[in-house]
Amino acid sequence: MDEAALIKAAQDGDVDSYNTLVLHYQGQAYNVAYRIMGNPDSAADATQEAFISAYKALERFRGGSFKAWLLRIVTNACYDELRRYKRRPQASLDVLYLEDPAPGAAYTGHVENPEGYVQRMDLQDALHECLQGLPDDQRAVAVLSDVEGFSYDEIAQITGAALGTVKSRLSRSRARLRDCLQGFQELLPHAYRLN
Amino acid sequence: MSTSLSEQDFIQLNAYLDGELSGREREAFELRLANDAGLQHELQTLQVTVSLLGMAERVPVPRNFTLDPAVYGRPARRSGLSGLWPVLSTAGAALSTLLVCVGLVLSLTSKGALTAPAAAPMAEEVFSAQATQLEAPAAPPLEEPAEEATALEEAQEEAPMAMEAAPTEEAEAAAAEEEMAAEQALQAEMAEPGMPPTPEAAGGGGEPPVEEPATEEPAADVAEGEAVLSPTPTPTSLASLPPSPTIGADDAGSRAADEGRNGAEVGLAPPLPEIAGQRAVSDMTAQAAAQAAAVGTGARTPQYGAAPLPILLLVVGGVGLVVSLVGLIASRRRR
Repeated sequence: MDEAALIKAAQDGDVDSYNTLVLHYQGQAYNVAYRIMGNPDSAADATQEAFISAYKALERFRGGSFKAWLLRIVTNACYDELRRYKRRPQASLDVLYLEDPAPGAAYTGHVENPEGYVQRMDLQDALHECLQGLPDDQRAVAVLSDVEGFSYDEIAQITGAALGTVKSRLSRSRARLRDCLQGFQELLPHAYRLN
Repeated sequence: MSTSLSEQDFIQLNAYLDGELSGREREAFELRLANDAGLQHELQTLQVTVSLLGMAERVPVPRNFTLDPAVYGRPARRSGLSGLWPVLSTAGAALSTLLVCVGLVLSLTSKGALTAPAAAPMAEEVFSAQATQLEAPAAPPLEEPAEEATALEEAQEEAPMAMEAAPTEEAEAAAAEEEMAAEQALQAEMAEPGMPPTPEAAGGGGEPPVEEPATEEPAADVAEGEAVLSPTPTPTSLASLPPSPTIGADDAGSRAADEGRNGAEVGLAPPLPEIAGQRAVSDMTAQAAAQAAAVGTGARTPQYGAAPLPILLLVVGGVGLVVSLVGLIASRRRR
């Protein structure tokens, strides 16, 4: 995929070229949105909104990392969605999550035993719950760093925060996550139990 | 879990874990880590936490997020003039701003030029006053060239611009000669009603002055003033010009030349009572010439004709600026 050519064509109004970019990045964009939002539907809404916004703002893209630029729009869309939810608290994110379990936790009976599946599910639930317990800004940094694997500089670029702020947020988020995960000791794999 | 670490220590611990420390920082931190069991424990729990987070499974996308070309498709925006619109608007705005600036500069300049009409009539008044005084009995004409030379020097000092028009010293001498002869003739005319001629004038000979048109050889200083104040000689102005006398012209001219050479001595000598009046006339002539020159060659010409131009530029520039700005805003909103 010639990303630069696709971006140029999309900037000139070629929707098909832009859709090629969408198909390439939608997995990462949706996962970031899902970890930040905490439920699949809200994540899907935020992701769709982000891709539309990115297309409208594509003329202002002046080079650099397209992925970082796109994920910044995704995280901003997530923050907007979260603000909307907080203004209407009747639709609790926790309730939505419990009613709609993580889509990645589907049972794959032919490759793992039921015990393994349950263990995996427990770990995913614990991680999800601990992540959702973080403040929004710390959660975004933790997801981008420890789930998506971005560097400090990339996180600063995506979140629009200073490097020092990124370090500070990451440090605090990890401390909280460590404390939170200690509460799920019996659910964690033996090698990962925190003493 | 150890809580003995400060926030800064914990930030450094995370940076160490993520490989974000520089070489020197890393070495220093490793040295500290080797001697601090609490720090080692914190590092271990942090590693486990990060590893657990890395086990978070990726979730499949519920659907594609592609955009519908029927809804979001748009024609190539850079084709035709539509792509040039922002450029044209910007250029228009710049041009309009330039027009406004030029208009402002011209209007400020024309403010200075608008003072010229006040100066010009003043110069004319001086000339008419000079003409009036010339009708009065004047000093002996033989002193005139020296006084004229002094006046010219003063005019040179006061208005260098005026002397730019005077080509050479020869022309000055000729002009002084002409002026002196003209005044002699004028005095001769004035003497007719009963005023006795001055001894110098009488000594110069009794022949009546030959009336010649002064326009054949115009005096430099007078011609300069005339050229500025009345470009087209009218019969009145021609009539007011003194005739060129022939009586005593050679004598007066040679004396004028001598006194012109010794102008400094003459200028330092105490003026005779008769000369004082003549000096006043000469001073006024020089002042008028200086004022006429100060008005400037061509400074008078745009005073009325160019006055609307700055206003026109301001209006056109202002309208253009507004239109360009509106165009820019509209094109931005359209995007």
